[in-house]
Amino acid sequence: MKIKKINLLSHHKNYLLYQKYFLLFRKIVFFSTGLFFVLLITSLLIITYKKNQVDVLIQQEQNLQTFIKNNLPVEENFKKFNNLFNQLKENLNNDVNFYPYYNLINDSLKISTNPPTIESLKIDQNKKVNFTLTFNNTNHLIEFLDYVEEEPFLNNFVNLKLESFLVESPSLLNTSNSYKISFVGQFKKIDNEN
Amino acid sequence: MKINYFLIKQLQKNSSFLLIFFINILLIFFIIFFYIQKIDQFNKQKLILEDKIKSLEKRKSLIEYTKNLKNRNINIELINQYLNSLIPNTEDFFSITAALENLSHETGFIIINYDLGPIDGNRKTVSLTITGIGNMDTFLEFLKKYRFNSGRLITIDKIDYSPENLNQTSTAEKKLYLTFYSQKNYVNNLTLNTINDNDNGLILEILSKTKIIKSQLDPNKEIEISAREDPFEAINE
Repeated sequence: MKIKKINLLSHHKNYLLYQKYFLLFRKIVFFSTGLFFVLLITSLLIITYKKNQVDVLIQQEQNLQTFIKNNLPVEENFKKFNNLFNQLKENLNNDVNFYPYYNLINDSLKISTNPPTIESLKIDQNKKVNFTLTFNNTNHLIEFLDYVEEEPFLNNFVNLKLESFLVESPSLLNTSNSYKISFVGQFKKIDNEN
Repeated sequence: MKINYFLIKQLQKNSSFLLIFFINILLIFFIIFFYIQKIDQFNKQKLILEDKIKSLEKRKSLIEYTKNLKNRNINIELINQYLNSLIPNTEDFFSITAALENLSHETGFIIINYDLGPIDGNRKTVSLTITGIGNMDTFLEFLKKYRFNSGRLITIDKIDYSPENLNQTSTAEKKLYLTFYSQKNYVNNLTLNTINDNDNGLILEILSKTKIIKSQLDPNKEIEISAREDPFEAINE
């Protein structure tokens, strides 16, 4: 049915109300269009920014790949070295490395004018040590015992204690006794054992 | 039903606005959806790339570090030749025999007896008891040199040094329990363990003392090894 006319007198209020709502709707449409463009531009800017970031990373990755590709033998050599050297150090932990520790004991005996002799020296891989020294003279023994109580000597050990003290007399007629002292303890690991 | 002519009239009048409104709503949803998807994709891609770059940077710094070692007179390629001799890829009878002979020759502590038994190439350690003859000096020389001088890495887990039977002139027999090593499975380790002063000292000791056993040389490498006073001679040239 086609509308030919509307009685504005009788429905004036309703008409104004609809018109008001549709005017508001038009404003919403303008606003949504604006919002659409704002969103479009903002998202395009952010996406371009993000894409640039990714592009920079891709470029960086490619540069690194090229660098590594050109230096593969160098890398392989170092990896091999790293593996072997770590294994060597690990294996050396099983070793007693006797000589530097022997030297340490030997050098400390040299402080005495008449140094004692090493009767035995046992060292294991954990640097646990057991050594026996022989003295032919009481004065030298006392001189050495004074020395072993001093910091420079004790600093070489985690712990050290006198295990036994033995006086040996070769015969009843012989007045010159010999003295054997045994120590047990543990060496501090020498930083550079070489 | 009563027809609302005002509404119809207004709808007709604003039909283009209505259409634009729906298109706007659709486009806004589309943009939001597209934006979220793209940003998510870029973020994921960025994370993956950053991880890759981190790992590649590690490798790069490792390479640069290795190159810089040359400035510290450390030639990794040369050191690897020595390490390959000390810890060979597979165990073999020849290199153990050669090592023991080298050690006898160099220290004067003559190894007279050892029992090798069958060698299993897959074993990573070989232990054997040796009997040697020498005086105090040669025995000490042996204890000084056994680790690297033979061309093979040798460890001894404990030593009982009792010079009562050994003196400067007379000789005596001594038994020692030696362990030889071969290479473990290759660990693809990218961790950069920098070479500190202790390591440097150890490398220097290896280079100055070790005499490479020829069978352990990499056949693909042409490198001339000779005993040298200066362990870095080849690099300094």
